[in-house]
Amino acid sequence: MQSRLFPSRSPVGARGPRGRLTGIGFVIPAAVLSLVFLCYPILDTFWLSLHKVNEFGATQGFAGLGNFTAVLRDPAFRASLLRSAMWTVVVVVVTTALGMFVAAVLNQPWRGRAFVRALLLLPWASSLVVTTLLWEWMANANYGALDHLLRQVGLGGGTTAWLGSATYALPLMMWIAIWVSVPPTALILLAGLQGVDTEIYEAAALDKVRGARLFFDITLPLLRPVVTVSVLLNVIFVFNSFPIIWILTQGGPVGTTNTLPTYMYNLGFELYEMGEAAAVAVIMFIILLIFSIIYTRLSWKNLAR
Amino acid sequence: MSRRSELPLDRIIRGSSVGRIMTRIAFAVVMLIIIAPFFVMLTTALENNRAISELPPVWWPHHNAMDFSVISVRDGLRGET
Repeated sequence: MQSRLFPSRSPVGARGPRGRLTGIGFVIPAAVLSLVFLCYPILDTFWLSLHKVNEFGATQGFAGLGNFTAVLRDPAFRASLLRSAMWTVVVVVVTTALGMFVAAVLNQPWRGRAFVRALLLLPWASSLVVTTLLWEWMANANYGALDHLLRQVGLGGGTTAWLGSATYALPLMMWIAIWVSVPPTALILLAGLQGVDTEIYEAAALDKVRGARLFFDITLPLLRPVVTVSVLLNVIFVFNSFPIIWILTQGGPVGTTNTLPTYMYNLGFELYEMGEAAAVAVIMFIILLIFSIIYTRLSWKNLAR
Repeated sequence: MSRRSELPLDRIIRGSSVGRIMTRIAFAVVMLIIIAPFFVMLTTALENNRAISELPPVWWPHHNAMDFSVISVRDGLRGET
């Protein structure tokens, strides 16, 4: 039985050309789907970013780096880039901290833990559009529950036009993004915590390491690979996040919540500058690529030490 | 073997009782914040239009409002508006 489940010889190479063909046959559907739905759009975006494009998406001659220089000269682009960076840093840092806290508590044995884990899935299991509309409803200045709740706990005085205010709109949207991101982050970190060997804790107990010190000196360093993956995924998702901002403010009021995705959408589908919108997409792609390479290299270098 | 190492493993991981209580309170607050919007969604789904826009908000729907919701769902399922 053991030998049938785990054959000792190489599964593909040793089966000859017929086995290899079968393998290729299995790979072809996924490869075709990847080419059509991943590679082609990416390459097409690069192509569009280097061309003049009319409002119907047809290319009208080579533009070189013209689209890129036009975008980089735009003060709204620079403001959106800064806002995107701030949005990403705040959301990812707070999400990771809260997710770690929730995961650490859920990793301890207590009654009702399974039920709370299920509750935690609610924001993640619900449609992002639905939860965003729910927050819009709660933030309504006339009949929203948010103002009332804040007043009840002594954190607010009057009615606040949360989404109409240049001061409060972006922080509120950051909070919604954090609220949506904490559950999946907590579950990823919880999976990592459950993989930590309990013998290490027993050894730490012999050295009288307990509580917060145990967490920061033992648990956190052991969790570093999981935290690395979680932060990387969150940075990519949050940096590209579009629905929350678009549903709530569409980049307003007066552009104070415009991030790169909403700026790009405005360029492409409201101003019909498809070439420049493609250039923004390429810039976003390059930023994330550079970040991912640097971050993973630094993380793995620290892990290797 | 020291006395501390003889404690159950979960107690070692959780730390002191004061820290444990503080952690529980903070966790309860975080969970409340996560769940509260869903509570609002649920109660809004069971209220009639007038109650939805009432101030202060109606946290628990009135009996007749729940009847109204049941009728709305029934009519919706029948295709009547």
